[in-house]
Amino acid sequence: MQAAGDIEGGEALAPVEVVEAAAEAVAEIRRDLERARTLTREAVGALQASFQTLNGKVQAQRAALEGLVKELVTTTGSADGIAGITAQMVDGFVQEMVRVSRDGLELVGLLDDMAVQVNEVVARSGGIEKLARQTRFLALNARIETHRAGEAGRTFKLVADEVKRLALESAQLSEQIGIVVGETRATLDKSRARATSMASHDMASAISSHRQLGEAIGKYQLVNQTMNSALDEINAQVTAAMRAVAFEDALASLIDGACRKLDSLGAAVRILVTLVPRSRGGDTTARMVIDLLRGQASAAAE
Amino acid sequence: MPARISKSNEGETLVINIAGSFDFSSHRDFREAYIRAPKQGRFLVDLTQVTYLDSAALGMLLMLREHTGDATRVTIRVGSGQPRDAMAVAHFDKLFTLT
Repeated sequence: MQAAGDIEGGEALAPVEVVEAAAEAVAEIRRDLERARTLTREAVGALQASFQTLNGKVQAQRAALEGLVKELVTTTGSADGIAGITAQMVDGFVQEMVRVSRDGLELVGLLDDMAVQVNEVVARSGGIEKLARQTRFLALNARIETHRAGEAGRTFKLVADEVKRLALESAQLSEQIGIVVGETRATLDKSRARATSMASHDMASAISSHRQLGEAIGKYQLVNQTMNSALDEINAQVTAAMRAVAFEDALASLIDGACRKLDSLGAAVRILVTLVPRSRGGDTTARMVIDLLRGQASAAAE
Repeated sequence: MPARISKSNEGETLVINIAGSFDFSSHRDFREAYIRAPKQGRFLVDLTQVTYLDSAALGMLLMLREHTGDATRVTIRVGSGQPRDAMAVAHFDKLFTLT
């Protein structure tokens, strides 16, 4: 365009000088175009490299996120993932709690059966006591009878004393059984209380843990979905951008076309140089040629 | 206070209705409700009026399941809220027919 400026003052120039200035302008436009092509190629190259880096980062981010989500969450019930393992632990804990409750209930039932059996022992022991009382009464009667019998009842008195001693021992035995039964009952009561506490557990903490875990898994999955959607979008945008910067090829081809046209124009101008008169001063033909050149040069530059 | 337990028959199904707080204190009444019923029959435990249950209640239901020897014959009707949550946590839907 610098050359066109020079041509502006061409009123005083010879036609040949005007044409030479035009030739130089054409050459300069061609150089500008080549520079533009080089600059565009470099810029587009840098842009493509940048997009490729961005794409690589997006892919790496996706892989990292997928790894993290896989580690933290998988579908409920799966053995993989921290959440899956935690869910299994909670399930195992609850199942164990229910099983212990069931065993505790069975144990309470067995202890109740045992209490019935102990009551049976108490009832039988009451029978022994009754027998001992009757025997003691019998011994007392026998002793009274031996007094009546006098000397003849002396031997029988020994038997009556022995019966009395046996009655006392029976009574003592019954008493000892009563003590042991009392202890057994106390032990049974303690065992029953322990089994009862084993069987009864509030489910609140298990329900709460289960719910929190479910919510956490839901949140992780939502984050995963959101991040994946965002990464998909970025991926699509990067791909579209990379496609868009491929305009550089089309641009280079347009510039090549323009350069070829300029080359033709340059050749035409060089021929004109040989044709125009070398005298100074204005000339109608020269003026027309200059106008033509000016028009072509500005069209080529555009 | 033990839950209120009543039973009735609907055809071949023994229906055990439980209302209130179903916990350890109900274990005798609950066992009594089914222990003399024919094992081959069907059982429906209606817990829709139960406001709370603990692990002992779940243990009792397991014992009923063992008593019948066939879990498919035991149906549990349960409303929403804590009883259903407790059953969900214990995966009772895999052990019984829950409605």
